[in-house]
Amino acid sequence: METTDNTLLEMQQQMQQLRKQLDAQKIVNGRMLRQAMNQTANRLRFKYFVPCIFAVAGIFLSPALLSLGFSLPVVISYIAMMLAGVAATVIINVHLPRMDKDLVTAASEVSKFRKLNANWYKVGAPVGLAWLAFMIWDMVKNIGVDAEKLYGLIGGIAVGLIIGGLLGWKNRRDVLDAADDLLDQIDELRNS
Amino acid sequence: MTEREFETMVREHRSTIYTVCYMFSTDKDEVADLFQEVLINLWKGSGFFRGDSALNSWIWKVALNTCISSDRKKKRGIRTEPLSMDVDLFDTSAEDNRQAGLLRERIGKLGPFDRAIVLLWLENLSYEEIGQIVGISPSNVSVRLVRIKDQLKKMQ
Repeated sequence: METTDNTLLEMQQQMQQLRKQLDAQKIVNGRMLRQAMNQTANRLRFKYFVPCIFAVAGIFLSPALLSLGFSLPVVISYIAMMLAGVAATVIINVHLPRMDKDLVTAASEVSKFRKLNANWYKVGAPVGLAWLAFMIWDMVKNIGVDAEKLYGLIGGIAVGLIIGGLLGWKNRRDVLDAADDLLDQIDELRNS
Repeated sequence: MTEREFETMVREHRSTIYTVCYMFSTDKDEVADLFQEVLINLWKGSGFFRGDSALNSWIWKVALNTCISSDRKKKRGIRTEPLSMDVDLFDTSAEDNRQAGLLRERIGKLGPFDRAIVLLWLENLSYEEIGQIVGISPSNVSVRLVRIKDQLKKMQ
């Protein structure tokens, strides 16, 4: 007990010392503060809105798919997929967890949000693969791509899917492990 | 909250924010990254702050939540105009920094929520205040602190 009391006393003294040092920490002028915040905020927005911009650009370029010979159902399903992606990104970002709630609530929301993001593939992957298969079928039926080019295209798509899939799977695993770890700690905290 | 008011608030509470970031970081760059992320979250949340809790409690919540929830793997992006620290707490040549380092070492071995609880306790917040910030009852805070003290004892 005495060891713990001494340790805690030392920690209190060290904390007071740390605070004194940090009180001496200057913050650069207001302009730099706002600039740094805006740059960081823009970087965070960039992460979510660039995919949306590409999706919207893709929608405007979809008439080009028609001129290449793809059928109307392929183009319509492509536009629908892009719109669904944009809608999902906007909706998810509107519901970003807030950091001003108590720690347990905020951490719980962050973990659930990350799990939701990590599991989007359960809808996205089947839809994407189905559309790819539909597009390839359409190419063969309506455009008449020869076998050599078709195998080349399928081979390229398969390599891309395997590499992307492996990287995405690993990232998903890491995100889910971290989210579960946080949720376990919350349970332990609530049940202590 | 206007930008000026926000700036004033950050200046007044900078040592609180830096303390939290320091206790959850492993190097100077990470402290600076976390500090900026805390400021972003404070700014985002300033529209929701209605003064129904103390300003200090609100800042503790945002700073602790940001650090606990921070995704370190994605942090190594381009960072321009960083808010750097004048006080380099990771330079262990000074005795004061070594003491701060000892404190961080002890607290760093605790889980993130226990780290938060002990930091709030070292700041002389009441069990009720700690409970409100963490989201558990004051009696749970008391039980938790006993366990943390046991853990610290075993670290000797």
